[in-house]
Amino acid sequence: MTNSFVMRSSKSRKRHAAEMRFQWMGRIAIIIAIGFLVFMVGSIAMMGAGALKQTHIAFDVDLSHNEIDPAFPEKADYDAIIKASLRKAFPDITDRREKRELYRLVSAEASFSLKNFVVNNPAHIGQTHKLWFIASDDVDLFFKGNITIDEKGNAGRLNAQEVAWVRIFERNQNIETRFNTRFFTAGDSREPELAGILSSLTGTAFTLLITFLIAFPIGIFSAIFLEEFIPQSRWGDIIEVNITNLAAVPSIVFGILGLTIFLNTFGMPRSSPLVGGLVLALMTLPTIIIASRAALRSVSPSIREAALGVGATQIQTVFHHVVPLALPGMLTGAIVGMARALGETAPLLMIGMVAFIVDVPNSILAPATALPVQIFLWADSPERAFLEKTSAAIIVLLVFLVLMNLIAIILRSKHRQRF
Amino acid sequence: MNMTVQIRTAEIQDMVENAILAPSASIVSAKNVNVYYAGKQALKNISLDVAKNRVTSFIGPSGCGKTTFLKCINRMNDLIDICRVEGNIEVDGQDIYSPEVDVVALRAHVGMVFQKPNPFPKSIFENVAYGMRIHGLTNNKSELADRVELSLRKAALWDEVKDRLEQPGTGLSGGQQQRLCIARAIAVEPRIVLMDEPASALDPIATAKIEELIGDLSTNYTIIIVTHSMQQAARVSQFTAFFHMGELVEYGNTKTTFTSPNDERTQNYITGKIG
Repeated sequence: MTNSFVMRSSKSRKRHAAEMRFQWMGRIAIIIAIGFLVFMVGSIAMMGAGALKQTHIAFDVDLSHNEIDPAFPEKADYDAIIKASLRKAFPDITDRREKRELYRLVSAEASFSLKNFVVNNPAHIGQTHKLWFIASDDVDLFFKGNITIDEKGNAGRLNAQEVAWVRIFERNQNIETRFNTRFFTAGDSREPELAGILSSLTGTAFTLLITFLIAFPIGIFSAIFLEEFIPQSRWGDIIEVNITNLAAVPSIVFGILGLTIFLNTFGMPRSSPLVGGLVLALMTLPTIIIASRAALRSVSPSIREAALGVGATQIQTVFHHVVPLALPGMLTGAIVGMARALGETAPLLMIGMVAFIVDVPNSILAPATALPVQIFLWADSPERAFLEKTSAAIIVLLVFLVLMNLIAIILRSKHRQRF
Repeated sequence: MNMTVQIRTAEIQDMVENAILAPSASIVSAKNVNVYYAGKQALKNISLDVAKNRVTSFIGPSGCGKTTFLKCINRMNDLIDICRVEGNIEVDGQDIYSPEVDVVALRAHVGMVFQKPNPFPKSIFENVAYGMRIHGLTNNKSELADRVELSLRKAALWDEVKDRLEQPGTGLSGGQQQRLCIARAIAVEPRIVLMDEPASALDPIATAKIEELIGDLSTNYTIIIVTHSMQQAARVSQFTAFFHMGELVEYGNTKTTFTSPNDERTQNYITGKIG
C-alpha cells in the first residue's frame, strides 16, 4: 500500500528541503536586522541616558552687605562672590594657578543663578547660605563615572588636585546628580553643561508647521486634480513621471534651490524656519502627492458611480465621497513625508539653519536651527561632554519619529476598519 | 360554473396583458446609435423605443453591448475616456447628447442601480437623503425625513430599517443594500430607472424581493433592466431586447420573444446554444 502524498520520493524531499532553507534564510535575515536595530538604539540610549542627569555642587556663599547693595542687588559682582566663597571653602589654597583650577569646578553659569537667587530673595542679603550650583562639564563627566582616573591621577581634563577636591565635596555630601531639566528648557551653549535642545526643538516645530501648512494642502489638491480630473491624459502622464522623479532627488538639491530662490532671489531672512519650512515642503510634496494619489485610487470606483448615478457633479462626487474615504491615506502619506522632513539636515545647512542659536526662536522669521542640525553641531564639538548630549538629542529625535509614525499607523488602521 | 369563471379569468388576463402591451407612449427613443471603445465598435446601429411605465429587459451574452447601451441612456459612458457615442438618443423628446443638456440633471431624471450594491459608507438615512440634498429637493428637515421614509417604503425596505436609520448602509445584507440603492435612486424622483443586473450578486430570496419590487415600481417608473437570466427577463419584463455582438437582434414583447423568436440567434440563445 502506497500513499502518494507521503513524502518518500527524493524529489519531494528536495523540494521540502529547499522550502526549509528559504524559511531559515528569511529568519536569519530578520534576526540580523533586529540585531542591528537593537545594537544601534541600545548604544545610543546608553550613551544618551547620562545627559538626563546633571551634577550639582554646593558650598556656602557669603552674601555680605559689603559685596551686595540691597538697593541695587543686580549690580553686584556675583562672579567675585562665587570665587571668594570657593576660596573660603578651601582656605589652604593660595597659589594662583590652583585658584584658577578651583574656580573651574563650577559652571560659568553659577554667577547668573546666584544673581537670580539674590534678586528674587533680597531678604537673604547679609546672610551666609549653602547653595547648589551646576558643576562644570569635566566634574560632571568624572562624577557620573563617564571617565576614569589614569595612571597620572588625571581624569580627562581634571588633574589629580581637582579630582581630590571633588572627593572632598563628595565626602561632605556637597555634590550630587539631579534630573537635568536644563537640557529641555535651555538653548544651545558653548558650555556642554548648559546646552539644551529647546531652541532647536522650537526651530524644528516652526519649520515643520510651515512644511505641513504648505505641503499638505498643495499636495492633496494636486493629487485630487491629477487623479480625479485629468486621469489618463498626456499631460497627466508627463506630470506623474516628473513627480515620481522629484521624490528621488537628493535633499541637498532642494537646499540649493532654496538658497538660490528663497534667499537670493526673494531675499527672505536667512536661517529662518520660514525658508527651512518652504524648502522641506518642496522636498515633501512629491511624497504627499504620490501617497495621496494612491489613497484616491484605492477608493472603490463603485462609490464614484453611485454618486454620479444620483446626479452628483464631479466635484460633489470627489469632495463628498471620494476624499473623505481617502483622507486617512492622505494624512498617512503626509505624516510619513513630514517624518522624513523632521530628520533632514542637508537642505537646512544650505539655507543657513546651521547657526549657533542660543535664544529660543519666537517667530518663523527669527534665526533658528533644527534638531538634526543641532545633533550635527554637537557631534562636531570637541568637548567630550557633548557626546552624551548628542546621543540624548538623537533619542529625542527618534521619539518624535516614532510618535509620528504611530499616528500614521493609527490613522491607517482606522481607515481599514471602515471597510 | 367553474368553467365560466376560469374562462372569465383567462379573458381578463388576456385583456390586461393586451392593455399592457398596447403601444404606449415611448419615453426613450434611440436612433442609429453607434458606440466605439478606442476605435473598436461596441454597438452597431441600435434603434429602439422604450415604452413608458413598463419594464423592458435587455438580454444577450456577455460583451454583447447591453450594458453599454444602458449606460448611454444616462450618459454614464461619459466617464470612460476612450468611449465615443454616435447617433441620437432622446429622453422625453429631448436629445440627451446635445450640448445644452445638463448631464447632472439628466442623471437625476434617469436613475441607475448597479450590478454590485454600492451604498455610500454613510448612514442608511444619509444614503437616501444625499441625492435630495444635492438637488435641493426638500425645504426642511421634516420634509426630508418624510421623503426618505417614502423612498424606503417604495423600495420595500422601511420596515426592516426604520429602527436603525443612523447605522451604516454598508452593514445591511446584500439584498437590503440593493434595495437601499433602489431607494436612493428613486428618492430624486427620476422618470426612468436603469438597472444593470441588479440581482446578479444576490441569493434567490433577495432576488425574488427585488423582482417583486420591480413589478411594483413599474406603475410609476419606466424600468430598463439588463439581465443575464432569461427567466428573470421573462418574469419581470413586458418587453425584451436581445443583443448579440453589438447588434440589436430582436426586440418585441417578452412573451413573443421567448416563445416564437423571429431570429435564429435569439432562438439559439434562449435554448442555450450560444451565450
